[in-house]
Amino acid sequence: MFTTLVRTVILYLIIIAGIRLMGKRQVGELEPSELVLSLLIADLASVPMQDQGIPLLAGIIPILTLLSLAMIFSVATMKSITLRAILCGRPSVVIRSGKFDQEEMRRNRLTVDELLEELRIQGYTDLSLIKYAILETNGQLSVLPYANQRPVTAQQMDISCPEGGLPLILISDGHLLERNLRARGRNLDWLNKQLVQRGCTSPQSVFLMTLDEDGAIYLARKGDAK
Amino acid sequence: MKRFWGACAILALLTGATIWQGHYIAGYLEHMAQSLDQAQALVEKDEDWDQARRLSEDVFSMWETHKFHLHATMNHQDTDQVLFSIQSVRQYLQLEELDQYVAANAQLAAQLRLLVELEQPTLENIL
Repeated sequence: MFTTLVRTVILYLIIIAGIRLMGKRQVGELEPSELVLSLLIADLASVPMQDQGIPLLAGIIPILTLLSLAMIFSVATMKSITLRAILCGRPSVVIRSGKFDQEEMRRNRLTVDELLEELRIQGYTDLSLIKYAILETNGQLSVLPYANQRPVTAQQMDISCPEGGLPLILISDGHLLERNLRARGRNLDWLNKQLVQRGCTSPQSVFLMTLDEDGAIYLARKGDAK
Repeated sequence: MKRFWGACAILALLTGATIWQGHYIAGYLEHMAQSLDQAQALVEKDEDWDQARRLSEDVFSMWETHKFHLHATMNHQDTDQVLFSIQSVRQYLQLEELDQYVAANAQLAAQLRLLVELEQPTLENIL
């Protein structure tokens, strides 16, 4: 049983390291080849995890092979548009200028019910408001409404708004991220002063602290939500 | 491009290592099978049980020496079967039971050759 535990940990760490090195996104945004990869890896890892009669290498070697192949294809698709189209497919425009492209829907085996469901999930019940709906290669539906249906922007109203900065995390769950502090051109003395001003004694008492380029600070103390 | 070349290197390393593994395992397992055949011939022709025992013990020691490598790379069911066969051959050698020994020894040699075959990069194995 202990052997099973150790094998599980080893396989898990190898998979995490491999997926991390590939730099891939969460499951919901996977391309078809990436989804296949995830499913295969899960299956390959589970077999030596459960069956001690199968050597660990019987799981590790296929997993490493798959991850290497996926990385190679990933770079190759970056360089070659043709290969990208073959492996990932092309986006399909299923609603064009407010009209269903029934041929595209048939080609993608997308039923009207499925399309309407996706549109409702995105908040569109009135089809006359939609100019384009595009079925992306990862299966998600992108909806572009007509211009006069889009939310008004400050630019259209001729209003100038202050630009917000990008907040960097300085303290995360009590841990000080010195690299980010230095990136914002601040030091520990400045930080301690800010903490004291906000009633905190040390970084350990802070749940989250962020600082953006304009100097705007957000701070949440530990236990504040209670 | 660093990740691309890294992935290519890993793939090349895995390919090389698995091919090497096939050759390496074939090397000593085939030698073991041949030694067992020789031991069997000694018993069948001259009833030289002592020499057969010595040859067989060398084979069993070689198995012990490579046990870690075998357990790390092969299905344990296959390696366990070889272990059981080794015990049988050992017993029949001690008891000097010719018929039983010949059958058990032939089975053991066949199992070793099967292990060699399983590791070869052949179309049969791939399909």
